[in-house]
Amino acid sequence: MSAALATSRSFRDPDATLIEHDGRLIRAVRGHALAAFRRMLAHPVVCRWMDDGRLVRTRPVLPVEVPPQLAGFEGECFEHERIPFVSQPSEWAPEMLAAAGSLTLQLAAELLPRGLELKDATPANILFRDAEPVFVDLPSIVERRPGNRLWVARHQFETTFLLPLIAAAEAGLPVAWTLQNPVAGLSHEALARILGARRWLKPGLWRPVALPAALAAKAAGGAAASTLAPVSEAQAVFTLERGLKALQAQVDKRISAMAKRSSHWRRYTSARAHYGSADLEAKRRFVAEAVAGTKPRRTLDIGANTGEFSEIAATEGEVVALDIDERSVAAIWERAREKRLPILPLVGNFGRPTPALGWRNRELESLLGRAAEGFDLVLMLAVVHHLRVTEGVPVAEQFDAVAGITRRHLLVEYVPVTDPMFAAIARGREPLYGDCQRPEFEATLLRRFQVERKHELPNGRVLYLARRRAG
Amino acid sequence: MKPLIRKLACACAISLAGVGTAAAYIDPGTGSMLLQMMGAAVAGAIFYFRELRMKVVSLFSRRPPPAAREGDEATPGDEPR
Repeated sequence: MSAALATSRSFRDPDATLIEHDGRLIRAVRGHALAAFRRMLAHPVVCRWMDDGRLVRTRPVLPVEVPPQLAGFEGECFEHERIPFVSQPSEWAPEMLAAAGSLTLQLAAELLPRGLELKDATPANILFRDAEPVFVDLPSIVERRPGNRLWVARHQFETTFLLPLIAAAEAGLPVAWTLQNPVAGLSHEALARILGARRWLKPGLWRPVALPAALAAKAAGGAAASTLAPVSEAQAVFTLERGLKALQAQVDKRISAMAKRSSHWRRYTSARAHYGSADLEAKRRFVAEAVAGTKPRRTLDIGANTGEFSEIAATEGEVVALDIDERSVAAIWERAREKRLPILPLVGNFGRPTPALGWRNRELESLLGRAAEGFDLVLMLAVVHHLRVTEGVPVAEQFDAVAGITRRHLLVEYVPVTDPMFAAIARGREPLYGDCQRPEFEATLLRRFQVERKHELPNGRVLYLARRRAG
Repeated sequence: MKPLIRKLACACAISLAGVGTAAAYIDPGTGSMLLQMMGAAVAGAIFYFRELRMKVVSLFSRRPPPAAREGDEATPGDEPR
C-alpha cells in the first residue's frame, strides 16, 4: 500500500479509495473494479441523479491531473465535487437521518430494475449540501447478481438508519449517541434491551426490533445461511421492491411519531421574556447590517437556536447552524429545506465539539478540524455565557477557538451577569465568572479581535462586530 | 387440540421473549438475514399467485397480456446520452 493510500480517508472498500489533494477529492478505483465502475458512471440513471444533485457529481481525471502520490496507482482516478461542509451522521437531527435513509432507499429502488444495487447502506455514504442529502459513495453502486432476492445491505440499513430512528422516536435517544459509529450503528439486540418489554407490547416493533433480536440470539451458535437459490429476475425485483417499500414505511412511521414531539428550545423564541420587541428588533437590525456590510460567503452560527439569525446570514452565503438541541436543529432543517435556504443545521455542542473518529482517528475529522479557517463570519449570539457557565470554558479560551475558525469576522453578544438568563444558569455562582464582567469581557475580546461596531441594547446586552487580528 | 396450540404458542413466546447474547463477532446480522429470507419466501408466494391470477385473467381477456414487469423493458429516462 502506498503512502497516499495509507493516509486515505476511505480505505475499507477493496474496490476504491478516496484521497484529498490540493483541496480536490480524488476517488482512485482499482484495476479489478474499473470496468464495472466506468459502466456504472455512464449509466443513464446515475447521470440523471448527478444532474439533479442527489448523487455527488464525478468526472474522470486526465492522466496529467493525477496527484503525484497516486502516480504508481494501478487503476484510474475520478474527481468528486466538493460538498461545502462535511458533516458526520452523529451531528444530524433524526429528521435529517430519515431524509438520508429515504434517499438511500430511493436510489436502491431506482437501481433495482436496472440490474444494479447498493452493496452497503450507511449514513456514512451521505453528506448534506445545505439542507439536501447527497449520496457520495459511488463505489457502493454495483452490479446485482441476476435472480438474487436478498439485499445484502439490508441489515446495515436497519442498524444505521432504522434502529437509530426507532431509538429516537421510542426512547428519545439522540442520534449523537446511537450513531457514534455510522458504519455499525445500533444493533437489534442493544435496542431490544433499551426498549425492554415494550418491543413485544407494540406490534409495530416486532418486525424491526423484537424478532431480529430474538432470532439473532437463537441462531448465533449455528452457521447461518446468507443466500437463497436464484429465482426469475421478475420475482427477484418484486421481492426486493417489497422489502424497500417496507423499510420506507418504517422510516416514515418514525418521522411522523417524532413530529409530535416538541422541546423547550422550539418554544424559546415565542417565550423570550428577556427580550422586549425593541431589543429584538435592534438585534435583528444590527445582525442584518453586519451581514450586509461584511458579505460573508460562509458563516458559522454557534448556538443557532431556531435559526432566525442563520437565515439573515444566509442572504449572503452558506451557513452552518450549530445547536445543542436536536429539536431546534430539526426545525431549522425543515425550514431551510422548505424555503431552499443555503443552511446546513447540525447538532453539536461547541463546548464539547465532535472528536475525530474511526481508524487512527482519521476517517471522520473533528468538528474543529473541519471548521478551521473555514468561515468568513462566526455568530456567537447569547452563547458565550452558556459555554462559560454550563461548560466551564473561560471566555479567553472561547475567543481563541473562534479565532481559529473565522477568517475575518466575529459577531458576539455580551450577556451581563445581572441578566435574568445569566442568573438562571449561574444560580448564585455569578462571582465565579469574573471574565463575564463587561470590562474583562471586552479586554479579552480585544486580545484576539478588533471591534469595528458596537451596539448596546436597552436590556443591557451588547453586540460587537469584531475583525480577527492578524497572527 | 386447543391446549396443544396454546402450549406451543407459550413455548414460542418464552423462547423469543428474551434477548440472549448474540456474539457480534460471529455474525451480527443473523436475525435480520433470517427474517429477510422469510420475507422473500412470502413475497415469492405472493408473486406466484399474482402471476397465476394474471394468466387466468389473460385467458378471458381480449387485450394482449401486459408485460410481466416494467423493468423487463427499457425503463423511461434510461436513454443513453
